[in-house]
Amino acid sequence: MRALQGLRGPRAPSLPLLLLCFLAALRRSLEHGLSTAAPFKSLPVQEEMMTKYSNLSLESHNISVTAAPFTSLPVQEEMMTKSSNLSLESHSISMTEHSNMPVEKNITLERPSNVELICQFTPSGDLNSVNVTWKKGDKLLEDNYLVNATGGTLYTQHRVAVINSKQMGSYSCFFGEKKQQRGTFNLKVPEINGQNKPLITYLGDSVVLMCKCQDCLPLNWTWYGGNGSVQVPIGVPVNDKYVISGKHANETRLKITQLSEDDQGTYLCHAIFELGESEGHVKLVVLSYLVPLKVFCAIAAEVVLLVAAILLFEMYTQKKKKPSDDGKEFEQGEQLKLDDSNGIENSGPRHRKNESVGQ
Amino acid sequence: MLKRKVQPYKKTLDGGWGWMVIFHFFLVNVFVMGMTKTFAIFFVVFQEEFEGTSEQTGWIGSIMSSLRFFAGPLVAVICDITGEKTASSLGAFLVAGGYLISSWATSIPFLCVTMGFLPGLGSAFLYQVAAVVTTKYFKKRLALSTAIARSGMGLTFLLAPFTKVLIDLYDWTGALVLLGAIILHLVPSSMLLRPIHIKSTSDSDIKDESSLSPTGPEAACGTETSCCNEIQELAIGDSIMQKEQRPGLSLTVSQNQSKEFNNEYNRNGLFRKTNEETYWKKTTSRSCKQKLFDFSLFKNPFFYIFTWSFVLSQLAYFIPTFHLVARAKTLGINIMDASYLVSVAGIIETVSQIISGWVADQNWIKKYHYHKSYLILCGITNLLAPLATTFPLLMTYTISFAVFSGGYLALILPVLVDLSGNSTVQSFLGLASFFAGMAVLSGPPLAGWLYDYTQTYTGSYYFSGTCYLLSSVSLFFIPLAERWKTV
Repeated sequence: MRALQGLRGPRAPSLPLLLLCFLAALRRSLEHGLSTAAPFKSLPVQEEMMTKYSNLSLESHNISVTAAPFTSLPVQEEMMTKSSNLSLESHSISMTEHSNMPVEKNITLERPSNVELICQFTPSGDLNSVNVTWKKGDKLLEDNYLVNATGGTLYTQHRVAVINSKQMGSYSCFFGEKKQQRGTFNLKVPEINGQNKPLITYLGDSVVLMCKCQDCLPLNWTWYGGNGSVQVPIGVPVNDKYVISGKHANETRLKITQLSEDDQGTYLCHAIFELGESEGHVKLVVLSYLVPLKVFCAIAAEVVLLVAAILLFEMYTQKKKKPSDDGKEFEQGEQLKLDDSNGIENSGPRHRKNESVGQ
Repeated sequence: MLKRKVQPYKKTLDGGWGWMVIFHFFLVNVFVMGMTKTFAIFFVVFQEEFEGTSEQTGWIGSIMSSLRFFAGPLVAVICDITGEKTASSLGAFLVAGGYLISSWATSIPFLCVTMGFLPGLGSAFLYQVAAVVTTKYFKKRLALSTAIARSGMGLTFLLAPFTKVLIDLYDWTGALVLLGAIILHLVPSSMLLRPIHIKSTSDSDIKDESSLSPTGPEAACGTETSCCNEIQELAIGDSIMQKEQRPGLSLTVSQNQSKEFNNEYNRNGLFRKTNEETYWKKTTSRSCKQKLFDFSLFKNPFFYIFTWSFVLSQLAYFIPTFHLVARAKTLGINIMDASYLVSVAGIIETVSQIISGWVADQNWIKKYHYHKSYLILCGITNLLAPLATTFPLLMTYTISFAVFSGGYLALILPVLVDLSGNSTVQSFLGLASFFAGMAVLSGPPLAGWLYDYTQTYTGSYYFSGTCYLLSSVSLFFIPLAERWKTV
């Protein structure tokens, strides 16, 4: 009986141990599940980050830097891994060891996510002698990356969990000590498209300024107007002159009524994301009606001049021909006068004759 | 003394001042065709500004281009009342005024009137008057001169970028105002349309002939718009010659004659000379008006022949030009190459028009034979068009279509003059244009419907090809109609 009790004793403290083992196994399986998409065996990802942010999407971006003596054309294949549906897109760029141009890739992020940055490097010499470092901006990153060498190519991967604007920026991977090959990933918020051409409007008119974002949904929009460095937010307080609206979440419209000369200038639309801010520019030019009217009057005056010139020309040619006509008409006029006078004279005597006859 | 206007010309010049008339016709072509082409740019602007559907906005353009044909008979009537210079200037004012008023537009229906109706009406005036005056000034070189004037259409490619620049600088309101001002230049160029008084030989020999048969004056009025006055003059002239011995005769003329006319008749000695020299612009006689709004055209078989051919060829012309770029896109050709196709087609069409005009003027065979053969060739080219599936083949099709269509386009006016015979060119062209307007109005929607129905562009090419072949059929009946007329 005591043996049984003795057996029971050590069993009780083994329960928390079992729980721990169970948790560890769970973690390991999570790890394993997440890393199946990645081409590496183990990932030194911090456990904290895994438990906190395991529900975030995972994005993986690939840059390969090779030492091959010829440049092959950039092959574009996007590589993206997401935690839930595991879709895969790969993006790789290759360059020679001697090329001076750093390889850059721009990544647009809208929502917080896990980002995996992969650099590939094929050195001409020994793989193991190449030193691999990662930097964010100018700051050297100590951990959170893996180096692997397979088949003559050096792979390095750095995973970042982007939750706010602090994690945005440019990350660079460096190969080698003396002649450093560099690949850069630029993490940015989506760009806003304002209007490239200035909007021309007239005094007293109303205009709609529009800012649009392709394929992204900002949290909020704000408008700033101002000349030069002073930026004044628009729409606060709300009045009739400025009306901010937007049909869809990815665009914003600012309607300005009763334009005046002061409304000229550049307007900025700010889009606020979780990961930062982005802005677009719209330039507004206000003209007075006199500007095209002056040009119109100039052209109309030219037309009147042409008409007058043609009329004068026609009158001139008519006058030229007139003397000959006058001659003919004069003859005929004379003939007519003679005829008329003949007629009158003739009628007179005839009349008298008749009268005399009648009498 | 008579208030005399410019000495009018007496016969077809085939040159000389005629080239100024061609210059005016050239400008009319540039601006009228340019209006239609720049409308495509304004279409986008209006759609954005007034937030209309593309169908609604498209109506503006349809009204503008179809009214150019529909207003034909009206132009004929007004031209006879006021004369050609005035009618053409009126047209220019209508177009410029339409553009000016459109700059204050507030909605799409407003634009339909001010940018569709008014410019359409104005362009009808401009185009038809210019065409008719050209036929009066040129006889032997009519086809060549018409072709040279029509080459103005080739210059319209300059107007599109110019309009874009104007819109960038002044926004569409300012751009419309300035375009209106530029079109006002057609007013001084309309003043180049000097009056011309065509006299056939029977008129000039009036002194020598003692009596004229009643059909004589009518035949002499072949191209004269105020022929009714001629008839009255000659009729009275007959009676005067018989009573030559009585000077100071005051004639009782019909009550609706103008005072000038009366003064003329009171001087019988002057009568014969002034008969030749004066060109009557104001025809106020009621009986003349009825003759000019010419219902006798409906009894003329040539009218039917020409109208049938004209309507069907206009209907068929639009479709390939409309769908060329779209077809190139569906075949996977990029936009730059497609626009290259369009510009090549434009240039070759212009050159082909001039060559065809020159060839037709040599008068080796009658002009309508050329017209017939070009139409048939156009039809065959279009029927073979669906075989063009690659860029070189499409280029071949475009070039051959441009050559043949340029050929028949240059000959429309000369064939019309040949066929018009006794009726005036003005009323003939007016009424034929009226029917053609229906084709122009229905052309683009029909093409669109064909595409929606068949989901390919080959259907539209077959349709266009058959229309061309059908349009040439009526021209085979010309010898038959001539025989029928003389019988």
